[in-house]
Amino acid sequence: MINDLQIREYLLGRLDDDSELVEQIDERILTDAQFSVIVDVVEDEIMEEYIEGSLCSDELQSVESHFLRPPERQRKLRNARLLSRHLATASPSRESVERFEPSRRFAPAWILVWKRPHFRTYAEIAAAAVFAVVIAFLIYQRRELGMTLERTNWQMAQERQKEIASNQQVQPRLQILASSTTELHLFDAGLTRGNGQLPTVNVTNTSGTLHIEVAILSDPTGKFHSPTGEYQVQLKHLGQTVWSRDAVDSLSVPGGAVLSIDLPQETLPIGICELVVKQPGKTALSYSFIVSDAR
Amino acid sequence: MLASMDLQPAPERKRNLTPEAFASFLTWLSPNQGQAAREYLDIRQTLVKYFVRKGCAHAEDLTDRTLDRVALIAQHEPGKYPKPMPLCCGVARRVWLEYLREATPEVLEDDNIPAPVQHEVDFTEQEVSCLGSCLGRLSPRDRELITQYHQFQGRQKIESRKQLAQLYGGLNKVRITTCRIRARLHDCVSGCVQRSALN
Repeated sequence: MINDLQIREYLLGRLDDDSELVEQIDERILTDAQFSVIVDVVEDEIMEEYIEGSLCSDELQSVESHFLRPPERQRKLRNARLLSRHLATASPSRESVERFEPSRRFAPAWILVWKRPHFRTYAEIAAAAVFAVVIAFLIYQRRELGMTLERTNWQMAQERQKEIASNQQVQPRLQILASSTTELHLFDAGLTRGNGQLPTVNVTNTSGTLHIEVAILSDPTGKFHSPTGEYQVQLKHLGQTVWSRDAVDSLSVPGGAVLSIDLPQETLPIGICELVVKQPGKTALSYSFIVSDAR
Repeated sequence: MLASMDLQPAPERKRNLTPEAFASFLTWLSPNQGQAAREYLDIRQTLVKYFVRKGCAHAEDLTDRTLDRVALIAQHEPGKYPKPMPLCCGVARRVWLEYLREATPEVLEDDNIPAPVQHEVDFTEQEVSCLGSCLGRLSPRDRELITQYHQFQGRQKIESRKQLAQLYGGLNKVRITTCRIRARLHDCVSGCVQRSALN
């Protein structure tokens, strides 16, 4: 098990390159995407501490003589500084101010009353009388409201019973529909790299349908597609076409078009699939996703 | 010292990869040309990142050197390695160790003196504007999270992050999520600044 501290030492170049630990970290960086994310996190934290000036002198030296040697990291540091400065100058949100400065919250009402100047005696008596009348009126109104509320509650209970009865009739049909249709939305053409993840669809029922919606961004060059026109759609797995359909219409929307495709789930192979979308005479667009078996 | 190290020329290197060997390497990655190209770029990006994490100023160069060797191995013994990444891993490590031995820079007297810490860096108007635009493209939830995550310093920062951890499902999750947001912002700002420079 490699911990954050060991990753930190690795990134600061403070481990022996011939050591077994470095070999293990090297291997996991290249083969384990999740581990690579943790390394990114530790890397960002070193930069954050460097910007804040909270590194100890040994670490500071390692950062400047080793960690910041690659130009890629220097560019990253510059952007991190830019972000840090921007957020430091941005005013804290109201919620966070309240969260961390409880003294700013409202003082209890009795303190305010206590601080008010005293009324003169007659004025106090008059005010007390008015107050008593208002209270009596409020009590009367409350009783009336209570009765109205009871009537309304009874009517609502009747309505709810009717609704439950209707739901009982509709629910089985909805369940059949829900279990047979799975949805997938594809936005990014090409494989997602780095920290991104491929969209995943779980196949729960082989007799159902996979409804795919593909967002196609507008293409001013006209190389990939024209705003109107039909598409040829192919589903590929391991380089083989497993399903295809011609003349699929697209719905034109602001900023591009949306393609809706319904696929029988029984045609879906488990693993990485590629949906290739093409207009005649244009370059194909490819969307990758993962099909996972959840039956 | 940082600058002087970066300006060092990349070590001399002879590319002995023929077009045929490269084509054979791509076929070894995948019989599908498009898929092979994608895999190649993916492996290349992973290797560049690996060498950057090693603190190497010539990451692209060592990546090319690694891929050239992997391609030659794959051409001669295509059946020996069923997956490319373990092979790349072994070769990359070997290339790195060789690089350490061959590229020993002359030790200067002031080699142990760290570069001055630059707390005050001037940013161009374009950079500031690009950051504003990129922050604006984040979802409100991500923008709020990244803002709160970097809002305080010292004790307040620790308390703030504890509270964010409670809200967002644990400290590790918050660390990873904010790291991904920062990576997106970095890519967005870099791209925006580059495009602005071209226009």
